[in-house]
Formats: sequence, C-alpha cells, structure tokens
Amino acid sequence: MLKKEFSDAFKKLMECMILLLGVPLGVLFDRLIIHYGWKLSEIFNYMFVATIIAYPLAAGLTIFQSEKKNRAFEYLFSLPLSRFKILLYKIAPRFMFLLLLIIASVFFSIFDNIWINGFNLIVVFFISAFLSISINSFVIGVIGISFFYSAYTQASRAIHFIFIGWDPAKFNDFSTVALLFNLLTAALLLIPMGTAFWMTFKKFDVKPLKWQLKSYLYIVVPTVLVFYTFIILLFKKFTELSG
Amino acid sequence: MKERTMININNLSFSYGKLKVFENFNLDVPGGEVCLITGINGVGKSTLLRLIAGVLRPAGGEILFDDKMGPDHRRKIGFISDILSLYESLTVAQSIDFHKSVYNLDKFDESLIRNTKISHDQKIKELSTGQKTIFHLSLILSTEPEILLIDEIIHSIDAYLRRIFLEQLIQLQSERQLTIIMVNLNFHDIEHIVERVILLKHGEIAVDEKIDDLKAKVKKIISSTSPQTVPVLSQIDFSDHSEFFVYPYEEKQKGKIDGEVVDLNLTEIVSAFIGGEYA
Repeated sequence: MLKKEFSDAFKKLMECMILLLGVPLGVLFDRLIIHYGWKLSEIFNYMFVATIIAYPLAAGLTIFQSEKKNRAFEYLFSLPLSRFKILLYKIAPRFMFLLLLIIASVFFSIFDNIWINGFNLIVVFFISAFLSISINSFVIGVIGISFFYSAYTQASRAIHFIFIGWDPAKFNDFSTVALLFNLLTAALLLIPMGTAFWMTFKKFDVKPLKWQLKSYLYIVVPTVLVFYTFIILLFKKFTELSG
Repeated sequence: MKERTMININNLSFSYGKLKVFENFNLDVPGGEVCLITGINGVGKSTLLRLIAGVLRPAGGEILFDDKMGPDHRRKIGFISDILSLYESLTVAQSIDFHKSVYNLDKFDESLIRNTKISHDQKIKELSTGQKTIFHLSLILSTEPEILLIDEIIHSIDAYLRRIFLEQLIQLQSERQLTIIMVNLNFHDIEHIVERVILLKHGEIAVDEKIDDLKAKVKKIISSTSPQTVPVLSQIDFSDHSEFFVYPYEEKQKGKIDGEVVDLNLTEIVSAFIGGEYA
C-alpha cells in the first residue's frame, strides 16, 4: 500500500510542479508582449513559491482522492489494515515530499531572495489533511483551508501582540518569538482538528458522509469559532489602544 | 462438519440516518454453509453483507467470528460488493502487487483471469464489468478466505466465465469447507450450490429454510378457487383460473386441495415471496 501512496503523492507533486511551466511562459510573455524586463530568477521565484504553497494544500486535501473518486473505500476498508496504518501510509509519503520541498526552498533561499516559512507549510498540510475527510470539492476545500489558515495566522499574531504590549514597531513575523507563537497557535488549532479527524476516521465506513461527521463538526466548528472570536476581540482592543 | 458457527450475529442494529434497517437482528451461519440472502430491493441484503465484511459499522450489537478466523478476521473474509470497488486508476499488475503486499502473499493464482482477455497492462477502469468481477474474485480467492461474501455480481459475468467461476466455487467449497453468503436476485445458476435460503422482510428474517425444505413447503396451486387449508403468499389471476403460491405446504394437505399442486424452482419460490410483499 505504501508503494501506491508514494506513487499518488509523487503524482500530486508532479501536478503541482506544472506551475513551474509558468517560468518559460512568463519569460515569453514578457519578451513578446509586455516588455517589462522581468528577470528569469524573479519569475522562477514566484512560480516556485506558488508550487511550494500548492503542494501541501493539494496533497493534504486529496489524501482520500483515489478512494472517493473510485468508490474504493469499500475495498480499502475490507482489507486487513488498521485505520492507524491506513492513515500512516497515506500521510507519511505526502509529508516526506513536503519536507523535500521545504529543504529545496531552504536551498534556493541561499542563492536568491525566497522567504518561505516551512512550518506554516506543514500547518497548511495538516489543516488540509484534517479537512479532507469532510470535503469532497477541491474549490470548497481551498476556501475552507484559507479560512482555517487565516484563523491560525491571525490568532498567532494576536497572541504575539499581547506579548509585545500592542507595539507594532516590535512586531516581526520571522523572529524566534513569532515562531514560538506559531507553534502554540498551531497546536491549539491542529490538536482539536486532528482529534476530530481521528475520532471520525476511526469509525469511518461506507455510509454517506452526512451521517458520519457529527462528532467531527462538534469539535472543528467550535474550535474555529473560538479562534475568530479571540482574534476579533483582541484586534478590537488593539484598535482601541492604538487610537 | 457444519456444526461450528462461523458467523454469529447478535442483536445487530443499523440505520441510515433515521431509516432503521436492522434492529436486534440475529443470525448464525455454520462453517461450510452456502447461504443465499434474498428479499425485495432496499430490505438490507447488501447492508448485511457490508456489516459482516466490516465496511459498515453496526450501531449496536455484535458480529462474532469463529476462532479459526484469527485475531484479524478481515484477513479471512473475501467480499465482492455490487459496486465492484477497486482502485480504478491502477493497472491489473499494480492491483495484484497492491493486494499481494497488503496480504503478504508470495504468489497470485491467475487461473481464473487466464480465461478472460485481461492484460496486465490494462487499467482497472478499462475492464468490462464481467472482467472486473472475475479479476476481483481472483484477488479475493488468492487470499484463501474462510468466508466469501458475494453481492449480486454473478449475473454480470458472461455465461462461460460464470460457469468457470461457479465450478471453482464448488471445488473450493468442497475442498476447504468455505462459508459462502450470496446476495442475489437471479438464482438460475446458483440454485444447485445453495444450501440455505434466508428471506429478509422489514429488517427481519421472514424465511430461513434449507433449500430442500423450502422446495417441499412452497408450491404453486393451479385452481379456480382459493385454497382454504394453506396460507397463500401471492397469486396470479388468469381468465379461467388462478395460480396460488402457498407456504407452508405439507404433503398431507394434498388431498384437501382442489387443484393441481406444482413444484417450484428457487427463482419461482423467491418470486412468490417477493410478489407477496409487493401485492
């Protein structure tokens, strides 16, 4: 099974890599039509960042794509594999390719001005994976991930602002303190989401989805609502303080 | 030989949302038995197979298996659903590899698919329904299951392959005392291998008989008047006479019946029960 999942994860990576075709297209577009004088490295940076963001999102969200597309849940669940093993086989290859992409981004950052927060990519991957069980449409999935990822980044900033005493001058997204708050916020978001995902997947069967998501929704929806309430209240206070 | 209970279903409950399919449902299937589950559409036949296969989870009750199935009974259950669930994007060779890796198999018996025109490079989605069925059966039989659950797919195979498949099934059943549960609405080909017939009605067992007993108890009476001494399941009216399908019929009642008593095959017997439900 691991072989199949590696192959699926690799295919997804290749699909995302198609975005890199934008590099020669961008060069041609510039040379033939707009004549802005874009550098090859600039276009490459943009497209590389796009690829590196697209992969965790697509890989996480499509974790059960082959089962949903082929109605193969029935086959998968009839196999003598524990739910833990299934999940491990699905997540491990996708996560490994994500780590390779992050390493590649670090490598490119040495030569050029690419700033990618690898930790945030991991957060995107897990948000996508944890949402994958409940969402069948890729477009709705992307909207959902944006919503949850935004909750994560804004809550992390809000906590950061409390820590630095509401002083925008002291705010630095790439500081060690910011990373610590990212870690804390990611844990606060991903632990309930992961628990809801596992509780649902552990008992998941071939019944229609709507009858299986009760406990998942009871955990995930309040979690994200708490996040947004927290963000709204704190930023309201920040606005009052900054006059 | 068939005393040992292979599958023991106790107080099983299951529903799709608010629609109750089973409530406190009980069934025992002895090892080595070939059992046919039938009933009208939507009665829960396929759901019952899915519950036994473990791809649906019961809301209540339990499904127990004989100890010889080992700690992970799914390893010894072969399940072919009516939707022929497989990874369609894989090739035949990749599917075989996948199945072998999951079940830790060293070899794969290709004797069944050798009779079809299936190529190893073909993707599963390119196979016809019959080819897919035979291929799925090959995958399952390669794992040497103790229990075989087959859901309404035999009719999708052409006559030649169906004969080969059924011959293999009979051979396996006699050699290894395979327990087989089939859900079917087309009984012509399987009548000679079925030993027990279970008819489901409203989530309960309405009929549970050995096939020979059932054939002795369900009869067609051709008469112009309704038989008074035996319950009528269903009837078909013609201009000058009616056909009454009766159950349970006893041989001693023959003298009291005004009309011709006719034996029925399994298809007609099940139709009589199902016809009664629709009437």
